[in-house]
Amino acid sequence: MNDVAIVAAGQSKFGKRTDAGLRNLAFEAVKDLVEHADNISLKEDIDATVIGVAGDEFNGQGAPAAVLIDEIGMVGKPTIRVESACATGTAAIKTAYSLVKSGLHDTVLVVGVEKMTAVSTAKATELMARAGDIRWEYPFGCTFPGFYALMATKHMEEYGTTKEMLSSVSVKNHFYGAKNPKAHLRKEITLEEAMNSIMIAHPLNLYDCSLISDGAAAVVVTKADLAKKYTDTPIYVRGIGSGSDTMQISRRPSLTSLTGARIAAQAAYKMAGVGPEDIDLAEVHDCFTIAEIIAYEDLGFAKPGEGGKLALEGQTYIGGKVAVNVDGGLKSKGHPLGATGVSQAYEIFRQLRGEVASEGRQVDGAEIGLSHNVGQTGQFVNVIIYGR
Amino acid sequence: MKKFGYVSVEHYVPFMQEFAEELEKGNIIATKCKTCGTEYFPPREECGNCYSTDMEKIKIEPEGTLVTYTIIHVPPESHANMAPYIVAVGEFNNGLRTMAHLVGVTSMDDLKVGRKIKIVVQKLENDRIVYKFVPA
Ligand SMILES: [Zn+2]
Repeated sequence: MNDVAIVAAGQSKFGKRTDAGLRNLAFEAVKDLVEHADNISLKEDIDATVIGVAGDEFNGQGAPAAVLIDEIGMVGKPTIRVESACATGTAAIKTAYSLVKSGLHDTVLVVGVEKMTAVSTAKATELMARAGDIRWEYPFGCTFPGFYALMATKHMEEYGTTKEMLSSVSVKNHFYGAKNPKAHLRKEITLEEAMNSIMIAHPLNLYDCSLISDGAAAVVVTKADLAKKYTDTPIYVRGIGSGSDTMQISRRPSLTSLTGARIAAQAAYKMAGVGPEDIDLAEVHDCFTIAEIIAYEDLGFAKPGEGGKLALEGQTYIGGKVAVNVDGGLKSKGHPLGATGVSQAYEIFRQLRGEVASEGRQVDGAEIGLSHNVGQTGQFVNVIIYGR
Repeated sequence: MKKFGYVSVEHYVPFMQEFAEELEKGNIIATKCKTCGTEYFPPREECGNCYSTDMEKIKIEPEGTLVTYTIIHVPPESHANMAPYIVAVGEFNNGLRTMAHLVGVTSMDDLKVGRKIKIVVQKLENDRIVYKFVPA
């Protein structure tokens, strides 16, 4: 299955970007793509755009795709805006894949972007809490960290997962984020610091939580037949799987796994004809440390209940069983909702082409990369497998 | 008009009004589809399993178990002055689960996953009403 390829990728600097609005972030990612593209002219070669933005309330712009296509010089070409909460970025790539695969368009530019820091942290917490059921969950003031904390408590109780295991994920992701020039928080942390930071939603503390960030990422998706025209080293979409889950977290039979992620992973592996043992690097949705541990298990890198051990043993560093989030992940690179899934593709694109060596975090000889992108608490999950 | 929970953002439909009024009488209501038997708690007016709207009310028995919990230290804007508070998931009637605050906790033993809890009704200020969990 090598019908659809990615032939160019770009990303803005992630962070608290007081210097940039939504449109500037999108422009920065597209400019980065253009400057690094091998042989592509956006004006001539792009047939349509897909724009991923998760929330209108964060930045205030209604119908944000309209302002963005104008900013990035794509006016006149067909466009569509895609939203799937924190999984918006991969939903945009999946949409572009479908447009290309169907034959409707040959070459599609995908831009995922979010401007989150213009509102206060309290307001951002409030807006994200409303992604819980506004009728039955929001009235109890359960925050986004709170939802994942409910899973963490259960995982710790059921499997003996420890605080040290959770913090190990954070230490790893900061270790790599410090090496990534585009990461939001470029700072290594010690296990002791990670374990002793201020509590957000017990048992999750500050270093268990991803960042509220501004940022954008962009990729060009095209037919495999055309790929070599644009670059000698395209990467191919080998498998896509998606799943979903109940709105209310309390209605789920399991609180230690995301059913939608298991369904998505299974479908993606089947389509790609590979298994967890074939993955050289994975970009997983570590919105919280517990989410990365659950991702190890849902993706088959560890048996149920053994994800924490994998983290503690350092098996997800480069050189371990599978390299996970070696760009810093959502934890250190940052998590601008609409950009995250596209940024995962950007990282895999560069890793599979061997372009990250100068940053000291290249997975040598990487052939297959996996992107795992979760919306809300698993109501939207996309798993995409890319290969050289 | 009674309203459910500490805060709400949606338009208040008659079904929710009725749920809140039953709460005031001490009744915690779930619903059961008369066509396919699926039970819903929190209650629903419609059955997503068989698309029937023929639902009957059933009562939630107060004794249940604690499934999981968290202690919210950094609250959303709407709960700014309440933190820290405990948000928990409880299971009732052998399999029906919901979210609520857990109050009356005096020891770590009260926070043990799997321990017995009770669901109780509490009136709040401004004509609001809510259900809560307490250690049993
Ligand atoms: Zn039914």
